[in-house]
Amino acid sequence: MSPASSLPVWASLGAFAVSATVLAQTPVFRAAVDAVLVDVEVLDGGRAVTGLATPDFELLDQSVPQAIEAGSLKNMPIDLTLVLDTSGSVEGRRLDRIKTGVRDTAQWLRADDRWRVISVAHVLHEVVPMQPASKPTAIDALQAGGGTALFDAVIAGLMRPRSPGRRQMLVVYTDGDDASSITNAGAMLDVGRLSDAEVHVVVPIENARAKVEAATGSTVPVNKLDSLIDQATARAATAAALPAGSGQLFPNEDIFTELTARTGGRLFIVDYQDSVGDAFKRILNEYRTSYVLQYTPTGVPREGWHDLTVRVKRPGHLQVVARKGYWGG
Amino acid sequence: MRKRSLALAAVSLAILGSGHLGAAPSIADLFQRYIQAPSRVLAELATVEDLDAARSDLDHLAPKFLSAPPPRAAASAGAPPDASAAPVVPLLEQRRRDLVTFALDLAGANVVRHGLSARRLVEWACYNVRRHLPPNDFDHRWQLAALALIEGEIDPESLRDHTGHFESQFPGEPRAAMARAIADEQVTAPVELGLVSNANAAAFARARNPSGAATAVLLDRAAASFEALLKVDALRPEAGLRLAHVQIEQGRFDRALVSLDDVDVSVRDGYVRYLSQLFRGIALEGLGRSSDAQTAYRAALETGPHAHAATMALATSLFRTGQRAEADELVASLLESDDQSKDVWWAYWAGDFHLWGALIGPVRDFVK
Repeated sequence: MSPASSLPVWASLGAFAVSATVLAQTPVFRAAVDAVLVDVEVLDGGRAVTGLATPDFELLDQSVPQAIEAGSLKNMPIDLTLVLDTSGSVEGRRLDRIKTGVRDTAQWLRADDRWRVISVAHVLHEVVPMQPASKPTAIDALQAGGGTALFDAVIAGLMRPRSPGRRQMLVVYTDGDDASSITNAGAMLDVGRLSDAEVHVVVPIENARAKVEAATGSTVPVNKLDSLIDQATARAATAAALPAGSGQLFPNEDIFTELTARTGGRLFIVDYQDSVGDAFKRILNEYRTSYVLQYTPTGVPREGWHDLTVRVKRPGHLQVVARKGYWGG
Repeated sequence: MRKRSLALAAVSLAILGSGHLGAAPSIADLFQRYIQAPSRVLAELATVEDLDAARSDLDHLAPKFLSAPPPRAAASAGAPPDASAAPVVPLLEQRRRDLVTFALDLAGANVVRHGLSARRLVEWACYNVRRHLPPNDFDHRWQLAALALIEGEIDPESLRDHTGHFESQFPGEPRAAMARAIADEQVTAPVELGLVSNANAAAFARARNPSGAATAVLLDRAAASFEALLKVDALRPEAGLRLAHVQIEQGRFDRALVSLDDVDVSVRDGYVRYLSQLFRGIALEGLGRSSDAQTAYRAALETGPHAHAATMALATSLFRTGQRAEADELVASLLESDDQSKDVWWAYWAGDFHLWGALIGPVRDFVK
């Protein structure tokens, strides 16, 4: 064998706590010198609950109750990162739907929001660099092909530091399969825990709507915002139809469920026929209706990992979604 | 799910180019021009759309070509006889070489687009190689190149089949043992790297369950084979590298580091050097030695600047250890110019296929 002389150049469910308990979500970041911001989404039956005020919340940092100083920063501009699976599995009409969805998403963003788009095959490309949504993009040039370095892509999307005064969210559109990452699920979860971004995952499943309808006997609207099926709904409806022993609605379901829970995001199931843009629109709308709580940590060391707990002091089965913690300096 | 091997694509694009040159010429015409000057028709080989038809054409062409009378000697055309121009290789043997080399090159040029048909073409030619007794240097070089091509398919069953052919002609050849071990190791290859459309796809998918008992058995067998091959000087760097990779798959990170030590002292080529540093980083990371892992990843990037795998591995390690600024800088740079041709990691499971160009070249040299 004649070796080459140099490197060839070719070659938890966010155990969505209920009633009064909460789970952590959202960008936790420092607003002022010592202030911490925590995004919190409150849901009732999967729908965002609006109209809550600061006194309605209870926030614990390392189990120590904290005084919430402000809770109305929801108009803070967003930095959105879209991570899109453009591997060979989406060639053809699926890719067309993704392109349309991405173009539509530009309309849902506000003038002071910014976005970027990362395509995922076995290599990663920042198809659209972080920029105002009004700027022209090269989405039409998006091509499908290759494998899926999904864990690598999510990690790459999470590393970008938060810009002061801006909220940071990551929306991943994927079938959940990873085939060619050098990193692994554990690394992705670790980076998710340490990052500033809130991660939402949208998973298209073949005939998802028909499966849910068959299992529940109710109609899932087509091409409406309501067609975004909550993971919990889809799971409850289709669990019986899962292949024996798999226990998963899609590849790596447990991993991405944990990722969204750690970062305060949510996981949605859509049908491959559904509008990608509608899915992104609903996620953005719900993100905008979420609450941003600000507090200055008291009674806890500033350094190191901080476990966070957020509760809503209202009766009923409210689901609170928030990041599970943050790394202090 | 994609249908063709990434590794094959990555390597083939660089070796052969991706352009099509219009309507495909006939196989007979291609063959005639190939044996005059192989390098001039390489690009055209990639325009052949139906390799099964091409194989059938070759099957018809072969008997006539092999039994055709010799061309008129130069002397009969009036030129004086030249003893130095007398053929060193008997005519029939030369024609056999021409035929099987053309078939192998044709298969190689189309393996990404027509993997299964390409493999059938290789096996058709292989029959004409291995029945030649006693085997000679040409046969050996041809078989090594063919083995690399089949390894690139990432279809363990086919690789084992072909290795059997190779061994029947060259018993005890260490490269055959390496190929068998690679076939066992390929069980850990990402599914998307394999030819999911091939006849062995179902068996491959069943066998590659990473947590399955069958996988554990195959990895144990691969590790034992690679370990034995450490004694073969020519194969020691690759054997050490692959042994370390298997040990990483088994979670035996400390053993992997020992295996990589053996690689580092003997490594010469960039492929092994890059991957050994990458694997060293992964093993160190597995042992919780992040700082040492980062040093290894940086060394890998010195060999393969901007390579995807080493960049992502380093950035992730840096981020997890609080060095966010550098991690972000690395990833930002990667997102601007990620390129499969910069990273041989993609070709790892494809065995010797990254050496296809180096292996087929000497075979072509036998074509007059």
